[in-house]
Amino acid sequence: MEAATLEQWYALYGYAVHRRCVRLLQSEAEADDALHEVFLRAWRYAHTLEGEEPLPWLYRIADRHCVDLLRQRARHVSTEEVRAPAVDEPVAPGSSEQLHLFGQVLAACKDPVRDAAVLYYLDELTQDEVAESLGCSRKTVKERLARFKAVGLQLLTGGRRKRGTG
Amino acid sequence: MNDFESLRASREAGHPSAQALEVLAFAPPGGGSQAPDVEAHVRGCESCQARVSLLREERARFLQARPARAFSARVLESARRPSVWERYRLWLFGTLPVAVAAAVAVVLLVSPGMRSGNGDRPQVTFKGATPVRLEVLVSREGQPAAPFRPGDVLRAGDVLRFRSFVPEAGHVFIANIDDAGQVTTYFPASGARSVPVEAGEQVLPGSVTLDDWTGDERITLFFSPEPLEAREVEAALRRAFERAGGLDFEAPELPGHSVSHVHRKESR
Repeated sequence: MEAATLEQWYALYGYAVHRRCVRLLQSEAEADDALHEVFLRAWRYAHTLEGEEPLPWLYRIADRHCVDLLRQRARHVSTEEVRAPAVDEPVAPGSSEQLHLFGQVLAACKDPVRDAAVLYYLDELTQDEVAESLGCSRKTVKERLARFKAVGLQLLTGGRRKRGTG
Repeated sequence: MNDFESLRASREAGHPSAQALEVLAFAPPGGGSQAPDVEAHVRGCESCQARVSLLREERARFLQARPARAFSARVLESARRPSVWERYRLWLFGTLPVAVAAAVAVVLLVSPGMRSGNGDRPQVTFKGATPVRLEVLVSREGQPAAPFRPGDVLRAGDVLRFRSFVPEAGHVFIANIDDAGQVTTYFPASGARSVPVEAGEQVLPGSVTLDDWTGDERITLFFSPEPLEAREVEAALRRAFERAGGLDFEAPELPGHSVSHVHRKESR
């Protein structure tokens, strides 16, 4: 990737990626850092992008990075503390409380469940579209989404889960 | 149970997915459409047109605050630095032996619990032998957070975050006291007592945006086996401040350990 392409990508997609990070992390400051990390990775791995739209690819990098951060956060801070939004900062549209919980559930789920939930809830794909995007059956997507809800319910009623149990 | 379905309410109402609208909204000008059906829907749907327009307007505002050239220059600068693995390799075979030798020398020469400061600012103090550490990360004008460096001056609007290191599981509370004796809780962002943390290094959730107060300030991290109440931390900081007649006070008398960071704040 050329430096000019990086700048162009940022001008086109920087806001979208930042918005995505704010929605997941519920923190402008952390989203600023995440945005930098996402574009750094994009710069390093742009050669792996083959004819795909850049934005969904950048979203995938952002989702993985943000969920890693959420998992680190979940490991170090008690459930009582992370249940409430951490900061009173402006965030992207959407229910702040709901997105905060959404992030916590993502952090507690295994990666395949995370990927399905992000595509279904944040990107608003249908279950068929999620299945096509992930290369699995609709039934599998349905099961993963059910698992996601179950982890969310358990998080709300039974407290903190460890990473990768969803 | 919150089942998150409302997150996708727009799609359920028959509109294209958020991803499709965002791809359309942020597509390069003049680029051929890869989703003519989405474009056709947007042309005939006021709600989706408004959504796409809003995204584009928000992007324009975002780029005004965070210009593309400066951002890409910072990313390229980071890309030129050695990768994590390269840094680890350099550290393992280069810096580590020197650091171990230096650490041994320090342990032999300096008694544990001795204050590191001699009046120079900023200073970090360690109480007792427990290696509790506090690093202040500063983000200015939307730039990525960077560790506070000695001699840095903070300004109103700077966003602070905190990286702590604690040797074992316990509870953390961070408070600031300015040179007028005003105490402000920095962490947790909400709640009236310290927060449980696990052992090790972590960037604490949340951030603090500095107000326009100018002068010296002292941020103190309290690490304790049992939670501390905000009011007892505040009272202890005030007592220590009043006893010393300023910010150069001994660690407040509270259970556990504390570490402080002093900085100067100036107007913009």
